[in-house]
Amino acid sequence: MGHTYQAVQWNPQKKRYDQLVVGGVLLYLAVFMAVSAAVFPEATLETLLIRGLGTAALVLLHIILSIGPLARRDPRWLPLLYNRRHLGVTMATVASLHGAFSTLQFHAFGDVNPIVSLFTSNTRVDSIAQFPFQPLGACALVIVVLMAATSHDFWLRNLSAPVWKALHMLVYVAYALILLHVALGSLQTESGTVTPAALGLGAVWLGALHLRAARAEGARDREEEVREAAAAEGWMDACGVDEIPEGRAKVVVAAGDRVAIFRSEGHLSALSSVCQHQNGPLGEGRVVDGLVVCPWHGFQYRPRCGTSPEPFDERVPTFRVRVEDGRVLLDPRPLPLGTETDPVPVSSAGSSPA
Amino acid sequence: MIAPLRRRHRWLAPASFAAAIVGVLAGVMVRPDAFVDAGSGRDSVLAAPAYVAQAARPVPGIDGLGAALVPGEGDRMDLWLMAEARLEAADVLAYLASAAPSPSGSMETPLPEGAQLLGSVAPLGASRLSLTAPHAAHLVLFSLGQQRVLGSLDLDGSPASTSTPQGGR
Repeated sequence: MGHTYQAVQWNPQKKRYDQLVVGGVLLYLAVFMAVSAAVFPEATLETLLIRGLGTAALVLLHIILSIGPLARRDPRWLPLLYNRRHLGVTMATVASLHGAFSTLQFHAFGDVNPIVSLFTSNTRVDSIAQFPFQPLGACALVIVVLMAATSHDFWLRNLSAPVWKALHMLVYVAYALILLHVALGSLQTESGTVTPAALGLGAVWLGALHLRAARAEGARDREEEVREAAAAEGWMDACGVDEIPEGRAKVVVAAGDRVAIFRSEGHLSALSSVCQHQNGPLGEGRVVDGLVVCPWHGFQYRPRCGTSPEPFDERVPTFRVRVEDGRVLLDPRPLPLGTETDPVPVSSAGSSPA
Repeated sequence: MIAPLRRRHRWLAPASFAAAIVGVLAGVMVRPDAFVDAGSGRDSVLAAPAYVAQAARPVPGIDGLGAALVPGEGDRMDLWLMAEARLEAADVLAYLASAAPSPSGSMETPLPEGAQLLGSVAPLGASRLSLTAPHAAHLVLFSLGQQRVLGSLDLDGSPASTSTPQGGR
């Protein structure tokens, strides 16, 4: 059941990505602390570091949450998506440093355990202005650290994709907790408009991005569901043959999920559009050297049987497809994993044998 | 498999952003500048109401810092600390202690045993801290940056003597 652990397989792109991320964080910290030291000359180095690390983590989180919906709208953002988990791990590290320094600064000099003090020193849950904001940040930190710790594919396989995905969607809960942490914390000790405006703008930006992506995806699903509803004899009219470019796919909704009909060397094959790695949009990938390649992380599948080439063992369901009068008909019932199907010539008038 | 995840995503993300926006708005509405006296004439919005400023007593050992203890919500008391000019100490924290800090002999003065942390003191303007009743009698102001007690005040009435800097922490 378990899978062996394989360390990060570094390549030049990953190294460059990480160098940019780490360099960016260090540059941000240097600039932030220099500016803050000029504006708040009485602040100590520890205070500047705490503020710098906290704001750096928040900025990183906004970038991370922006990448997904941006990549859905424009494939030029995909390079940022490829190694997004590296951004997440960096963010968790920076946030952990912020949490550690804060706990040390404000809770380590009493006779109570600092972690206990963190959660018990302020009990004003009945007040908004004096709400115990630090536990909110601590809970968010637990979530992001858990996500960072399970970001490797080893955990994706061992926890199973649904559990892993459910865990990683807690990033939205963490985001809300962090903003509440800031709004009920540092926002209560200053009078300026820059901080609340930046916080509000960040939340509105992310909300708008996600809303836009959701509406586009929802419209796409509804368009395909109409087509699915009109299916007769178990076969649905998916699309015209000419709608599928060579080496690419047409994605349709069948039985509530997306199916990609690929065209390669004049033949059609249908398989699930959901990559087994991290649910990437397989149907937006290409056929390269006879293999379907996921646009997110490059996972490959054979179009005729939905299996990955050795040594990988990912599999996606395949579907029967046939061509009649220039129309591609799809049987929406997925075949058992690994079922071999014969690719259908685009000019064929017959059905694809199961 | 993807459809249930997409449905979860569709309500979880908007709920998160909505909660975040509401939280930011609530935080802005309740922060101290909501309590500014219209007639205070101060440029900074971090100002205490007039009735608080009138009840303020200077904190020995810290120039320009006044303290006032006034009734708050329910059975709580509000302790206001008002810095007329920017404090020259770094990271000032307010503590409550049952006894005044005892002078020792070196550059740093330790906090009294069992001192309870109330919160941080804004370097300029007003800070409002909440106390339950009953509460310890002495307000102690401690600089984290300089690791020494800056001054203390007997909240029951008479100002305590200023502690001389000594003893490391």
